[in-house]
Amino acid sequence: MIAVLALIAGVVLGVYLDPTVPAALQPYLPIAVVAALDAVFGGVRAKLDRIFDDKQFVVSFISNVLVAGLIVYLGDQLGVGGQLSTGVVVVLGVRIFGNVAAIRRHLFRA
Amino acid sequence: MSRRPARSEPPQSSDGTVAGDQVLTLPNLISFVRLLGVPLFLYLFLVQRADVAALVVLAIGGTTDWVDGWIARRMRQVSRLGELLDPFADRLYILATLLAFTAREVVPWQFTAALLARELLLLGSLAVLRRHGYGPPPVHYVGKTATFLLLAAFPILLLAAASPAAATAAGGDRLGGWRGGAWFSTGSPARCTWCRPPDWSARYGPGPGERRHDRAPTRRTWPHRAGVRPGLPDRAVPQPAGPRVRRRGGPPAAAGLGASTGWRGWLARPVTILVIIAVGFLFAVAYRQTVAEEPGRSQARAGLVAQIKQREGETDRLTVRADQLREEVGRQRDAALSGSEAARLRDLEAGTGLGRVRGDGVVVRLADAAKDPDAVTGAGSGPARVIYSDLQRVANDLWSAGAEAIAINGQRLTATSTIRSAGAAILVDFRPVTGPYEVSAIGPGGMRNRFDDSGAALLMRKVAQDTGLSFTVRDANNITLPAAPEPRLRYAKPSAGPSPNPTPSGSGADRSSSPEPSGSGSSPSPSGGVR
Repeated sequence: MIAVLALIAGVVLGVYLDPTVPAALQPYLPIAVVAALDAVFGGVRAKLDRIFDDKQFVVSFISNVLVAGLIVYLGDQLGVGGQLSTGVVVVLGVRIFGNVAAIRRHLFRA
Repeated sequence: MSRRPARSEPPQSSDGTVAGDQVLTLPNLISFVRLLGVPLFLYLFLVQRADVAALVVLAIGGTTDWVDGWIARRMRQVSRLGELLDPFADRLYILATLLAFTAREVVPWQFTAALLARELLLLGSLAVLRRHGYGPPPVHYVGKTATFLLLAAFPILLLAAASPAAATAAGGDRLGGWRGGAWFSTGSPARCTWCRPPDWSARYGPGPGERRHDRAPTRRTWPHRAGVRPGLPDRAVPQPAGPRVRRRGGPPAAAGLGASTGWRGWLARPVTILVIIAVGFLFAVAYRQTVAEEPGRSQARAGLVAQIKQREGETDRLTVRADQLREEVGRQRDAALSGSEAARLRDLEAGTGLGRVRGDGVVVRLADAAKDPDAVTGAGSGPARVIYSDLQRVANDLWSAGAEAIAINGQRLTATSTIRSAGAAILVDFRPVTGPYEVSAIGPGGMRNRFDDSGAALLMRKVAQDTGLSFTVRDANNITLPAAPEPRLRYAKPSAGPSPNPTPSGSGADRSSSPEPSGSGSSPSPSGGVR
């Protein structure tokens, strides 16, 4: 419940503050969003599995976003930024699907 | 890493299912497929040298590491075969990656040797420990970090090898790889010597991967944990996402639900909430960003359109100026030349389309059908439109009906004129014309009737009837057709000096118009000016 409220608070904050993203960081924004989505679904799943762990959630969120950003940055430096972002999105997408499938099994038993 | 200890203890696995002897189960199938991925990876990497595809296979193999065991437990299909297959596949992945990298000289053989030596050392020390009655030592986080670095270095090394353009970056990456290797080596002794204090579990709960801490040790063990096996398996994931997948993805490790002591108790909760707020914030920002970029795109488009319009305006102005200058040149020339010469030049110009002409003729008007949007979607397939070949046909049939000068929407046709389509637009002499299209022609009195009977007119009437295009032909008296811009001939050169008698070959810029520029007996060319 608190988590949902916090999420809503974050959205409201984002809408209210309306920060401008620096141009240099713009390529990383979608990646960060996907990584964050991954963290959220992972957290929900862990909650349903009754193994949610605050520390792990925090650390995994931060590290996922950082690592994803790092990979894209590295790709940019190597000249394969687009492909690497695609790779990151694919990997995170697979994880999100896995987590969502687990959540679905939890909720619907199917 | 949680799965493997659970799997490797037949027949009772951690959730109480009994390992069966089935072979054709879904988890086993997945294990088989993963096993098949190893030769596929080797083939792609060593034979085909398709590094990206190999990387994808490797990534899939790494990330699906936990899937089979998890499904097996979920579907209660834990089988002995699976218990053997799964770690086998993991080890094979690591080994294959390492060997393939060595074979391709992505990593030097000394590196591989060091890694293998490390494992051997570990096995040896394990044997010694066992003799003294100790179980395998627990994994220290330094060892885990080393493994993580190593596994992260693998794809980066592969990437560096895969993209030759990144030769310099590859140096850096190799460095990263070596760093990972160094870490890896230091991680090994750390396992044995830098053990956690005995009361670690009590204070912090089990670390990641320590799933079965509640099992009673069956023999003398390291104080806080039993049954973690040595060697590769507990970090055997040939892909960096693997360990993380397992931690939150698989039935993960960090249990520790009850004991909310340590920093978790008073710090983690707010931090978690902060992180969730950050996630929401991130979503909102990303959404706003995407929405905000949209007008940017349309702005850019509008800017381009404005630029085009401006350039078109400039072109028009310059054209007007060119016309004025041309008239000026004509006047000057008339003044300079004798009367007959000047008249002859004027006739030539009129015949080739380079001079303004006036006379009686016809105007053919073509227009797109009225907009008739689809009632359901509002878009529809669009109304019937005049296409460039319609204009071509009309122009050609006007020439053959005897026209001596033709202009489309004020664009005079010359010997080198083109009527083409570019996308949805029609270009006449590379300038876009828009509907309604008016094809004006100056010609003899019977031109109207001849054109009405021509194929183009018949076809267009039929088309107009069928599709709602509009097609009209009317007589027009005393119409003036503008001059065409002078054609730039880059390759065709006048074959001889200007000959006093105009011959077809000597008419230079004009290959299709009449050899008699006076216009009286002009012989229109069916292909005149229209390509």
